[in-house]
Amino acid sequence: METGWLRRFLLPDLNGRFVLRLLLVAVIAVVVCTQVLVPLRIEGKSMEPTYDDGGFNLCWRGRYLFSEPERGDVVVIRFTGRRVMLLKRIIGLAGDTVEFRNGALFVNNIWVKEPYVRSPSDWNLAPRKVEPGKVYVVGDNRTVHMDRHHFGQVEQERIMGGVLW
Amino acid sequence: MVNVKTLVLIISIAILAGYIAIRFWPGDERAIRKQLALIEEAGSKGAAEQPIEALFKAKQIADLFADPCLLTVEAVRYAGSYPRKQIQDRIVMVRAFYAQARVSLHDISIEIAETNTAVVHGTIRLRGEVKGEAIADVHELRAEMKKIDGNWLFTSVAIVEVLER
Repeated sequence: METGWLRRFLLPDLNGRFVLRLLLVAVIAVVVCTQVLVPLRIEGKSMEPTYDDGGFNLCWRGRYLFSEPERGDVVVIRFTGRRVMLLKRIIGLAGDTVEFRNGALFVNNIWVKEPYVRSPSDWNLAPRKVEPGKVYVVGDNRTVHMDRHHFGQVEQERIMGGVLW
Repeated sequence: MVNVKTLVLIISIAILAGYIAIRFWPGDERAIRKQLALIEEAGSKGAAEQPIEALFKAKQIADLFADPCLLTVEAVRYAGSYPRKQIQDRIVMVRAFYAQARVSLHDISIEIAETNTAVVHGTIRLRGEVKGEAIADVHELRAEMKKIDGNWLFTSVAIVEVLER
C-alpha cells in the first residue's frame, strides 16, 4: 500500500515551503477566528429553547456590514471584549416603543407574535422608547424571573454580529 | 548561510523569550493584574468553605479597596462612598448568599497614568449555585486605581450599564 503521502503529511520535511505553509495557515486561522467567524460556546439558559446551554455556534461578524439589524435577529453583544458576550434577540429598534403585558410583547402598541418563545411568561414591563443608536434586546427564555434576566436597550455599536445558524 | 532548522529554532526562542519577558517582567501593570487575580481567587467559593475562610477571603478582597472607595451602580443611578469595613461586610453577605461561586475577570484593559493612577476596564463573571440552582451573572466594570504606599488600590469601582431597561 502506498503510504508515502501519509508519511509526508504526518512527518513533513521541515523545509522553507512547509514553514511558509504553516505560517500562512496559522495567520488565516487567527484572522478567521477573531475577525470573521468567532467561535461561541453558549452558557446559560436565557436563549432557550432556541439555543441550549452548552451549545456551540459561530458569530458571523460580517452580518451587519451592509445591512442594519432588524427585529427578530439574534445578535451577539460584547462587554469590554470578546471573551464574554451575550446572545440576545432584537425586539425593538431605535424609536420603537416596547412593552410586555402578561408575557406578551407589544411593539408600538401592536402585539407581536413570538413563535420562538415556547414557555408561558408573566412579564410586565411598562412602555419605553428605544433611544437613537440603540436596539432593545431580550432572551427567548421568559420563564426566568424578569429581575434575573439580562435585557434592555443596548448601543448598536456593541453588536458584534449575528449567529451563523 | 543559516539553514531553515536553525532559523525556526532562533524564531521560536525569540518568541518564547519575548513572551516570558512580557509575562513576567515586574511593573505596575503586572502588579494590578495580580490584584485582579486575587479578586478572582478570593471571590470564588467552594462548597465546603468554612466561615473563618469566608471572613479571611472577604478581608483579602476588602484590602484591595482604598478607604473610602466610591462605588457606582449605573443601572440604579446610585453612587456612594463606602469605608473599607462596610465593603468587607457586604462581601461577606454576598458570598454567604451562594453555596458555591466562581468569579472570573475577562478582557481586562489597563491604562496607567504617570501620576500613580490607573483606569481598569473589564468584564466580571460570576457563576454560582443558590439553593441547588445554578446562577450566572455578568457585568462590565470600570475602575480607578491608585498606588498608595506601594499597593495598587481601588479608589472607584463602577458597574457599567450595558443593557438599560
